[in-house]
Amino acid sequence: MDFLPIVILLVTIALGVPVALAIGAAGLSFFVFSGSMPPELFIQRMVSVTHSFPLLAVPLFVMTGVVMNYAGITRRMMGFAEAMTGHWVGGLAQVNVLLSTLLGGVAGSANADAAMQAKVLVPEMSRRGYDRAFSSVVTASSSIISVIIPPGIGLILYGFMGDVSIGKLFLAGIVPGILLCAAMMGLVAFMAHRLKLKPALARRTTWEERATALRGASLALMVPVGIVVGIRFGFFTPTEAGAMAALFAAIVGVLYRELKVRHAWTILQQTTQATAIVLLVICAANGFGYYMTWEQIPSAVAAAMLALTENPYLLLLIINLLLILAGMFIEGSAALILLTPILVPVISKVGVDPVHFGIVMVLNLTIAGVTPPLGTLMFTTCAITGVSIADFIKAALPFYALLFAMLLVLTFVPALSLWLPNLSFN
Amino acid sequence: MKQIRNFLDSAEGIVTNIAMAVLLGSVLWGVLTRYVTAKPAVWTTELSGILFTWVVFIGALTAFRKNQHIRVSLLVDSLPLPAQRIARILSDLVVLSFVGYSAWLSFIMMGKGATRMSPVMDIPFSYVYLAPFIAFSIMTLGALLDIFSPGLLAGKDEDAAEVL
Repeated sequence: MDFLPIVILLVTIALGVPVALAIGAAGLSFFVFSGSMPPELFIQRMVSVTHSFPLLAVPLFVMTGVVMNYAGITRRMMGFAEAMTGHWVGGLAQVNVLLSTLLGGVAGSANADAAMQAKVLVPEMSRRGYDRAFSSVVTASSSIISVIIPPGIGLILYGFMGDVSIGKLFLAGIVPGILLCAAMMGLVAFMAHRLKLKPALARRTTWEERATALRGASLALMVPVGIVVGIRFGFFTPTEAGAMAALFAAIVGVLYRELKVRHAWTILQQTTQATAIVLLVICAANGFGYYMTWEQIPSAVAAAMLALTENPYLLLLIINLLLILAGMFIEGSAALILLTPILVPVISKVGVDPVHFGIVMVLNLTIAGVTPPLGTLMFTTCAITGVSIADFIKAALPFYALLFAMLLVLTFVPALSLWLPNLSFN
Repeated sequence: MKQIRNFLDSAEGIVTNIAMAVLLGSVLWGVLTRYVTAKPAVWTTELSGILFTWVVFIGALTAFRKNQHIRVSLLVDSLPLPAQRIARILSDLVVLSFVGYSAWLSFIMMGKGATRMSPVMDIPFSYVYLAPFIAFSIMTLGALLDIFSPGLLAGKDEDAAEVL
């Protein structure tokens, strides 16, 4: 077997070459040195990724998220979340968690969610005497929920790389996402009592006020329902759902009189930039994938791991530990793109449902975003709130415990993920 | 140099943004015609694919110039300074040879694509491979200039990284 491309991959990533180009250089080296096929086929493999209709869902859902911020949807969702939980002890922290869950149903990017809430909610929390580090931790950790709640960019990438139905993955994320939200709200309530945090509102909002807030947010809340129902009943594909969600968010923005024509250019600019960065990694990985298929690496890895154990539970535990390790060295979406094609054959062999494993893998690699050393969500949040990484980590310990506990629960209780997709697709 | 940079910023922005807007319209048109008219449009999938190529590669070029691609700097940063400098040079050489060679390969693919038409809209594949050709060529130029003076084509930073 030819190990040169793997050596090149590891060395160039360690040298600090951008991950997409490192993967590309490693993949291209195989085309050049093996001599079994013309090297320009590498370019063809890279470009062919962009002709995949399912992957078009990535820019479309990214765009939906960007449009929402300009359309006033985010603010109305926040109003609704505040009306529901604002009177609790630590009310704003609860709003923070609930808002991530609600927004997760429209857009699917944890980093965007963390950045937005760090800008909007954390200053408000500080003003009411919340500890800044605590607020930052709540912001970063709760943004993980938005990745699991459909639609999610991570789920789309996993579905594409692992050849798993994106529609099923979306449905599978609903129950785990709601569970994660409930668990985190429980932890926040416990912490808020210990830290004696003030409620956001002096009194409980009346049901009339809540109804008003709900009416304000209702148009926006229709988006996740529409996406799930539309995909579940086969009215449209996830990609088409993305395009319609973007259009719908724009229409809502116009109805709210907040979205202006001059916003269009910025929205497009932010969408294309964020998309290109992730997609180039996938394009390069597809070139690299030719080498992996040629050398039958996924089946070799599968054989090696199955020689270790054929017990699905033990195997899932080992894979989870490996993923945590991988998440320490390489950014989440890049790790997802590289490892999905290797791991899906392994878990399929021992009878683990790839849909269930998708939720586990995406959650695992997203948790790496709030832990050192390479926590992108942690960096994004701390850069905006000005909290030091050391303070963040100290305040985050209970949240780490919760996230890893939830990871174990979702790993070993597949029914939580599979109940809904099996119910509707069978 | 500043003028070239500004020109690239706006030219790339115009290409990717218009491609993205038309892409969105084309996917929507596909849904609309499937449900509203008796004859669903078949060209929408093909057009959106071609536009996506342009969004991705020209967008990747902008991200390349602004140094926004994901990288792992953890290991390099922990090295002593002289070693960091060597790692930097090696990394630049890898990047330069990769984007340079890819530009050439994209050029070959353009030549091959001239006679290959897309199935529905009859567009030569040269126009698809033109996007990576432009992207990798300008990246090569940027990587070359970087060796003499880092960040010449970098342009101003925007917070695109926060969106994903």
